[in-house]
Amino acid sequence: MSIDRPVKVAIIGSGCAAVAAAFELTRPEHRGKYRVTLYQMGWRMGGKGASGRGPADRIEEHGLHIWLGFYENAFRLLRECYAELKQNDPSRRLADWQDAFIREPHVGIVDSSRQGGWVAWTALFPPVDGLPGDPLSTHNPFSLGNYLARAVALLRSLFLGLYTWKETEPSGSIRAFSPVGEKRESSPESLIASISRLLRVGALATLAGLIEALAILEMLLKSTPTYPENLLLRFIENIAAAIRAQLEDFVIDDDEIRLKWQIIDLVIAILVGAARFRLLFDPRGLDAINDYECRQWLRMNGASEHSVDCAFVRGLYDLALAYEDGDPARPGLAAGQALRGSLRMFFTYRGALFWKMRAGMGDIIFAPFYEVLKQRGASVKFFHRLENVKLVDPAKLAPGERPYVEALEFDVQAKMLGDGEYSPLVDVKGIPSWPSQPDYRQLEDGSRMEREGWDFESHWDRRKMASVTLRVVEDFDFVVFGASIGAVPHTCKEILARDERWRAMVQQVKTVASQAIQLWMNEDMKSVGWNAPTVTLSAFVKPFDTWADMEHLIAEENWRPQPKAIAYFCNVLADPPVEPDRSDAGYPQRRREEVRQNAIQFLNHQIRYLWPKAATAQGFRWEILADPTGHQPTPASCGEKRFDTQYWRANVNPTDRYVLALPGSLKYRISPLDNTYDNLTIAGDWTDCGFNEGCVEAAIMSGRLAAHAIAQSPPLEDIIGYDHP
Amino acid sequence: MTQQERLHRQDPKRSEPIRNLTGFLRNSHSWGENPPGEEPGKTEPQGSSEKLDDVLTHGVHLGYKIIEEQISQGQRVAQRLRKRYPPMGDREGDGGGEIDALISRLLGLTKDMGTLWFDSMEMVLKTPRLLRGLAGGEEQGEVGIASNLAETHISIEIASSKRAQVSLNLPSRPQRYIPLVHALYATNPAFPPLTGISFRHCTGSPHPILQVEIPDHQPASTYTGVVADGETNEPVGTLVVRVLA
Ligand SMILES: Cc1cc2nc3c(=O)[nH]c(=O)nc-3n(C[C@H](O)[C@H](O)[C@H](O)COP(=O)(O)OP(=O)(O)OC[C@H]3O[C@@H](n4cnc5c(N)ncnc54)[C@H](O)[C@@H]3O)c2cc1C
Repeated sequence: MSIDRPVKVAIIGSGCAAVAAAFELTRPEHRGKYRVTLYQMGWRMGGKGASGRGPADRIEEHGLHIWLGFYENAFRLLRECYAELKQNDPSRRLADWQDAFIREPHVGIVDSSRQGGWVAWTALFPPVDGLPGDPLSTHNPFSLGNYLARAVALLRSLFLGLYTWKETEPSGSIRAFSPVGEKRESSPESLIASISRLLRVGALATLAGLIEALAILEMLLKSTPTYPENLLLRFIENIAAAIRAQLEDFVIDDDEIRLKWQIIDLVIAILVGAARFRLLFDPRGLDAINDYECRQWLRMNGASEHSVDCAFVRGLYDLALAYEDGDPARPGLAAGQALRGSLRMFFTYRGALFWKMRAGMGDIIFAPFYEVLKQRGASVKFFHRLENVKLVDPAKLAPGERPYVEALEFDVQAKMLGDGEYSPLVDVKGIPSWPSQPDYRQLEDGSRMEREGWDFESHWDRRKMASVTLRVVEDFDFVVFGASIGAVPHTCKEILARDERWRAMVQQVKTVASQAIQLWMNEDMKSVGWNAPTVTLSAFVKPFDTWADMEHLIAEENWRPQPKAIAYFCNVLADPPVEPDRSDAGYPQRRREEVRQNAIQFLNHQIRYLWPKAATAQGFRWEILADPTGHQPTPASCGEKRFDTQYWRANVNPTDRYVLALPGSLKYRISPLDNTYDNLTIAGDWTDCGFNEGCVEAAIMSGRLAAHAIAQSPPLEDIIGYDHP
Repeated sequence: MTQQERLHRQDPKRSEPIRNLTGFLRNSHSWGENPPGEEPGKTEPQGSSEKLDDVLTHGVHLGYKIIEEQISQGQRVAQRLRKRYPPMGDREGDGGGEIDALISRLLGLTKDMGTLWFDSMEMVLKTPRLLRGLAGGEEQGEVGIASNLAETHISIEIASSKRAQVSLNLPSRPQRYIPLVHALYATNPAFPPLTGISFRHCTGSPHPILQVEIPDHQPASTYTGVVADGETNEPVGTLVVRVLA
């Protein structure tokens, strides 16, 4: 392609994928070859990752968002973005990307205890060398052989790295923190402690227990004089009797051993499965097993029913919102992708397993990208809602010419006063941030819109000020469709009418609604009964199975007085049997009310298992919720009404729905590299992007692929983890 | 506006990730030497100091350890179990079946893990390229990500009454060696392997032809196998034949 004018690229949306595509196409190396415009409905960027600042500048998220330590592409682009901004303004707040994140080494899961009540476990994932986004050496970490070696090492070390918070009181609540795992140390004391523990609780009862025991035995034998002989003997005897203990103890009374056995059982099933399905050598890599449901595949490879249903597995499903139609009884994850995700998550993270953003995702991710894109000359057209992707009439195509997009039809939801450009950011404590509401003062007829409650992000609110049509060549050369798959049936009707692959994709690549609540409390976590360190935890009860302690955000908000704790909860939200009609304007509000009711029930009845002191026999202590207006609770406002001062949402807009990776569905995804339509490429976590699971990393990879489809850059080998087994 | 002004997208070289063994090696030239946003010389690429020997020794050591531990422990434990819990007929109660199942699962496990390790070690040991890659890529740049058919100049002839798809991944041009295909196996071990596949050379052309013969009764499935260097029998790539129903 050699032309002497800039190539005009219209990007629909400004979620992770769209932004990644824009960032790639506007790289200085392209010397302004691509003139990029992003078209975004509403007033803010980010899509499913958007956030806003509400009363008291509190951060209001779409849902809980955590970045994982293996997000190589996402971190790489973000680091470049931060570096570019810092170059221009070294004194800006959070100028360094590392200042914009905090590392979270603890992952928690909650399980029901055999002794009654609940038991919460947290595993500590130690820091790993390097940082996500650092260059990778040619020592490829993404080979199944490498993973296998790591899995075997994991088997041996499982006993040592697990820390638990155990129930100590009969009330069924989680009280005391008692780390019962030991780090591998070779001092005589610690080895004796290890052995005593192995002997006492029957941890030898597993194959991996034996391996571990053997390693300890080896050390013991090397330095016998240090150890009492009878201990040595007992230990050897116990190794011999180990499997018997395995059989007996598996009907398990000890919660900790049960969980460990289950994880070990799962790891063994994975190793066995890898052998049986010849995954190491299958050219499809892990995709070879994507038609199997993950649990089914684990069962096929010998994992016990207990293990397959254990809290650890449930926790992984919860983190991936992997419930078809939002139904907790229908968990669904394609086995290959689930495995790829888990292997990447646990074995290839760098720095920390989890990275939490120091402010809202909008503020930490999308505001910096917005600024850099502007600096590079890209523009963002807010309040532009795509209505139709218009294809060329097939009769107009020359022989051999591929179909292409002829026009893009938009609703203009709002016009700027004086035809200026919308200025979307506000400053909060030195951080450019997105407000939770549009700045109506900048909009023509803004006060009327505010009064009438126009919801620019709602699928069910069709109000607009004008329409605009962009035409190929005149207004754009290429289109990156970066809206989510939920928008396809509404905006790509012409493609769906003539393209069977797209129809199959829309049918098979399913999405799920989600619900989220955020609580600000005027008591700290200890006072509500959580004595363990800060954690991100899943596998808790529905309707809010995932909780993250977000205390670190207090300093970034503007409360008077400051709250002492912040908690985010998130989960799927079940779909109604029949999809609501687009004319059903009250639908989002009804779902929001449902989430409110869910939250009140949850706080009254279930939260006590996690935070025993947050509730009394009468229910949740509503007075502990902080009010952003600063009002101190009065007896009248202290009932469940006080929940209304908190933040909650139902993510039911089609494009806001979380994208699932259901078994048998992934082969229906279409790649951003697909060139069926000459000037159209797709981008998003719903595309066939190499890592086919709804997450930031997938979206960013997809955006990079879309850029490659247009500019042949970045090289595919540079999209980290695209070529992955 | 005229039709001629409309810009076209270049056809992509490929539209799928490479997920087979060749992906074992990264070949990312365009990665900067330094982390994004950092000055040159600040970070040392990880693993660069690792030497081939270390990797090998470690791999072999680990392999033997796993096999030894798994197999010997498995057998010992199974023996003890059998002693403690004699076979079904010799005892009462219905717990015996469970124990038998556990014993056989245990033995199966140890066998599987041993085999798996052997398989992977064998593949690594047989492939100097992979070894070099594991050791830190002394030959970086030499080893490319698998090229497509057009680049490797291989023609394919298929003799089959059924619909079939063939995908061949070779990391380097076969002019340098005579490729050889071993039997291709389906995931379902009950299906017979595909054996009628070979490379042949045409006189006057430097490029080999891949001949694929699919018997009429061959069950529909995906058959996969390794392409080896005919002289050294080193794996050089992979071949997948999808026989469609
Ligand atoms: C509740 C929840 C929690 C999550 N938690 C995590 C997490 O912890 N970690 C993680 O990695 N991932 C998480 N995810 C997934 C992650 O948010 C997504 O994978 C990612 O944001 C998807 O980015 P995208 O660009 O593909 O799509 P989107 O973010 O959906 O972007 C689509 C864009 O298109 C715009 N758009 C849609 N329709 C139109 C239209 N008609 N006209 C104009 N613009 C339009 C949207 O407004 C948006 O800007 C979570 C998702 C949810 C729902």
